[in-house]
Amino acid sequence: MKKTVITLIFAIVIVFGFIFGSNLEIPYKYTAYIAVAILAFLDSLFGGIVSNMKNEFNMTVFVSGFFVNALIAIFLVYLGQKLNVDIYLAAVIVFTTRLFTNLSIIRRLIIENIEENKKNKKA
Amino acid sequence: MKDNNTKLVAKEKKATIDITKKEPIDKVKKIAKESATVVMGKVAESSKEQSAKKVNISKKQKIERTRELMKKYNITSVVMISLVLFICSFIIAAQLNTVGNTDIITQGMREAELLTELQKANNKYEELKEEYEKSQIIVDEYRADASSNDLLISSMTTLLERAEILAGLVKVKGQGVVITLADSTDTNIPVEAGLVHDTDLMAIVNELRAAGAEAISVNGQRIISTTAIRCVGPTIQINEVKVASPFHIKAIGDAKYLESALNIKNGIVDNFKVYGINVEVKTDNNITIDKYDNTLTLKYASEVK
Repeated sequence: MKKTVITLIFAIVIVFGFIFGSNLEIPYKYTAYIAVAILAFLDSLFGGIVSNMKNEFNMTVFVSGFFVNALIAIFLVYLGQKLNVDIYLAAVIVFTTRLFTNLSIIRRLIIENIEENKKNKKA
Repeated sequence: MKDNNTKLVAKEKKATIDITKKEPIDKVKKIAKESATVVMGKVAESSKEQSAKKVNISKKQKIERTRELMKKYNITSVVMISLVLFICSFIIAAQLNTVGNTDIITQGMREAELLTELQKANNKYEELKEEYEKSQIIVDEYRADASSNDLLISSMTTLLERAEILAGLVKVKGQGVVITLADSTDTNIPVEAGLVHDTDLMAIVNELRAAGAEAISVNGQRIISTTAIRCVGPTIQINEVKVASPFHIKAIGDAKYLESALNIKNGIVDNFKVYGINVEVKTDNNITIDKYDNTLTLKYASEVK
């Protein structure tokens, strides 16, 4: 399969997800859970991108991390509500920190790539 | 040093040959070009040699990377990643939709924020109240205007009649059922169980109303909205009048419907029969029910205007 075809498939899948999702309404009391789950999803996604760029990508690790992280995050929110402590804040902080780290790694890798290409052209 | 270099080149060439077996022709060309430049670089200067080597290694890595990526982009992984992306976008969209549709997000709000929210709601309430009062004045004006209208008067009188029937203020007639309830005469049943109690009457009145009865009376006492049925010693008090067994309950409504509602299997009549209470249900096409005797006075309740 060509890379462009795969990218196209991914784009279509994302668009479909948005279309189906925007027709659905989650009961309001579950939005706190979903919010943390979304952060977990994004964290795993960017983690996957970074590992792919570093050539360390592993499908099983990626998919399992995607779901397990989200479930643990949801559980933390639930536990926090039971204990009356905002434990979900911990999850939020961890996920956002990791998001930023991953994003910076991605940025650095891209910049390195570009600079390398320039050098090669000169050579 | 030179020996080493030649070895390296040889090794590299081997690698490129390996790649040529799988990679398309243009890639092979590219690699050949690269190796050529590398060789040239090595032949040239020692300072350039170093950088060329570095480039060479990174290129090698790149080729390996692309190869691995090719391996990775098989169908299962594409499907898995698609699934993950779908779930992600789906949930994000749903969440955005939900949060966007919720007007006030009270969770996580501070006291001050909640107070301002309350203030806003109060202001809105006041505004709406004013609006309502204004429209109420307009409605009153219309009413005053319309009092001269004959059509309105006739419709009002029919409404009034209806209200009077429902309130039990007039004598009514129509089809319906007559139920006779009498205490048990069976000696095998305990005396207490065989008596007709206030709850029994209430149950039967309730059943009749559920079946759509429009007017009900028990021993001549019209059941109205303020009627109480309660046990007073050996008798039952309805509308502050004492009544005793046998009870004659009259109900105006769909006669067949009322009768079947009472006689339904395991229904209220069957239940009475268990305790030996004498029950008789008769349909009648012409029942008259007296009006409520007492005067209706309201001390506390008044219309909200």
